[in-house]
Amino acid sequence: MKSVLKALTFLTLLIASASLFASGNEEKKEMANKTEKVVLTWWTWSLPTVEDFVVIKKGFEEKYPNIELQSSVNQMDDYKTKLQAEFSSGAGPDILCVQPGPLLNKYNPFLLDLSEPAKDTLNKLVPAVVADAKFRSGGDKIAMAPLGSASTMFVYYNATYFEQAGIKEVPTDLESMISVINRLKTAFPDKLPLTIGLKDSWFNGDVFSLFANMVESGITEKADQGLVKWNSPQFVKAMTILKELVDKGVIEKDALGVSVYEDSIGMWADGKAVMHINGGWAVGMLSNPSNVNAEGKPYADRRGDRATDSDIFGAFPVPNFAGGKPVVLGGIDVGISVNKNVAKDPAKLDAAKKLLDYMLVGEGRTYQTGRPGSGLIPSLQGASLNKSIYQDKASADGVDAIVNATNNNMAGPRGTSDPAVFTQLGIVVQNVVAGNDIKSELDALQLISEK
Amino acid sequence: MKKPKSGSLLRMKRAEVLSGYLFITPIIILLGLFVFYGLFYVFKLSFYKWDGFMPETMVFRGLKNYSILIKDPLSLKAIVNVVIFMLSTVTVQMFLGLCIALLLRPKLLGHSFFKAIVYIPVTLSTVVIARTFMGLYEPYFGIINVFLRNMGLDSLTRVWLGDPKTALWCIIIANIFQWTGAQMVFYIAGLTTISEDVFEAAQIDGAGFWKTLKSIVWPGLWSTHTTVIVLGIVGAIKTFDIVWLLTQGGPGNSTQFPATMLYQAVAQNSQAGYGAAISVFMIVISVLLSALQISFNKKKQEA
Repeated sequence: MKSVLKALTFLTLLIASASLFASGNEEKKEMANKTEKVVLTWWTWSLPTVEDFVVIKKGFEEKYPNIELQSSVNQMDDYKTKLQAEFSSGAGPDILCVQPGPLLNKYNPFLLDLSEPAKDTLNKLVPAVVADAKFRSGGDKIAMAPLGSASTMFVYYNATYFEQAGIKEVPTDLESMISVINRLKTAFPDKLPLTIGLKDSWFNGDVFSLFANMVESGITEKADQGLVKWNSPQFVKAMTILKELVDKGVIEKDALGVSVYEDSIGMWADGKAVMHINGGWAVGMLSNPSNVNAEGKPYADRRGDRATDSDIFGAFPVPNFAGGKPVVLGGIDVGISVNKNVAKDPAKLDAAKKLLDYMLVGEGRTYQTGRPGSGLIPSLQGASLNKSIYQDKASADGVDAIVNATNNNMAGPRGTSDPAVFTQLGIVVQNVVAGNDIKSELDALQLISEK
Repeated sequence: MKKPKSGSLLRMKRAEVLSGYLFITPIIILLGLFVFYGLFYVFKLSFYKWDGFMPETMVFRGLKNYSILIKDPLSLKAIVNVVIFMLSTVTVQMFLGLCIALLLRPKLLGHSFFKAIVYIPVTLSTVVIARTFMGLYEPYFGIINVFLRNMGLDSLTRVWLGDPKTALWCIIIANIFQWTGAQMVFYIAGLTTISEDVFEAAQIDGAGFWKTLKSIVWPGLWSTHTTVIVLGIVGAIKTFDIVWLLTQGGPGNSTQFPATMLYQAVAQNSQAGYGAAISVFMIVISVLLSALQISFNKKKQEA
């Protein structure tokens, strides 16, 4: 009996110690997993959005359980400040979204050349877009993987009001635009025919470039490279056309007190305005509020409970007021870049490559450029905007017009290499609309470019 | 031999002197690190051309940033704007603040309520104030223009924030609305330093509201005036948030202030050296104007 008791005690102790050992092992395994997990930090401004990141993170971490994605979405100004502070101290996020132009140029020395590490992914993208990414990166390297393209400017219109006013065709030149505005004024005396947010300097720089490129395609890029002066006759003509639009009532001086997002888009969505000018990225607005996502939220900014909820919206490129085909500005809108420091850690570099592939060609793309309501035209070969939420003819035609113009009528990039010049372009537009002398405004612009 | 003054370092024991210095060492280190080093660095930076990013790209350019600043017509515009802003806001806020403080002095029924009402805008974020005023000034459906149209005064409607003639005044009005409550509090505190007996004596001698204001209240509040004016001057020179939120310095630079120029130079145009020159200019002007005002008020008080 004594020996049985001894054996039982021994067995109990053995089982207990084994289970303890096992749980300890599991803990160790868990600890090891935790320590092995690669953490990737990804910073951006509004794209991807906070909501996008929820699904992107979930999908990516499910596919790659050993990688943890930590995102930070900021307002653009805060984003620039954060990047500056972080990179100055030698740190910075692992992954960051960039826009070609000043933002990419500024941080380019800190970014990894993706030509080799992301070769397989880049090979699946539209070659012209990859070439553009290389060109924007300085030609020697690819500092950003193009997530998607965008272009500006388009007239978003309320097709229901157009129909009520008896307007059958969208305007294609100055005369037809004036005619449409007059008809709208007669049909809806309490509504604004057209709103444009000329209070915002970021928007006005694009207005200047658009009008200049209507006169001569690619002229702003030439001036940016110093090949043409900013006070050349082409720019004088462009600003004279802008002035003519003000004089003929197409653009009202009141627009100088209107912001694109705080005022203009709201007035249009509230039915107080019939047309509104914005970039192609606002394409989600063409979707009817009855199209909702999984959380029951309408796509993009057309939030519902507005006077225009049952109206049909459409879009067309801003007509070329100098004559000819409409032109748009843009190119790669958002690129994904990788911090050079990531290359020091092979596991992190591998995780970064997986993320790029996931976002540009994999499932992640469907959460971003392929998701309903996205305004970014995807870089993946053969991919287009998700048209499932644009059931009406006017809105579907609007989507096609935006995609077609972005692919075929691109006159040049947005912005300039010198941000001070871009700021001044916007000021010139404001002053010309206010009635200042065009020549002296352009002379001041030229002086700033020479500073 | 001249006897050292009481409290002089010469009369103190060495240990006392040492412990005194030890006591102020932490604050000297903190000030040195966070204030004086920053000031020195900005001053140094103002002689360089730099994008504000990689220190190795800094290029010494002597006084060129200051030369650009002086020659830039925008600087003159910013100075004129800040002077108009300073004179208007300081004067109106002082007048309104003092009047409200005087009206609330007798502690009539509900005076605390009214004090709170006037003070509420001070506690609000400038973003809230700006958003509220944007709603008032909006050209098409803003409350002011809608009211004017309904009254048949269409000719008086304006693009309030989009018209170079009215934009600055719109900012001034928003600023006055926001900060009058703060001046009121200063004056309420200042009024408590004037004895009630003085007011009673003035009343017995037959002094009315204006006579009391001119002969008792106004001269009795010189130190409060100094505080209010100095804060107003410094506040005006560094004004940024309300301007940026309402007009971003536009339309067409018509509402540029030194601080908006500074922001545009550093944050938007990557001109950190030029921005530093603007900062040095702002610091010098603030110090000079404040010193001038303090010495003026000192003389006035002594007189």
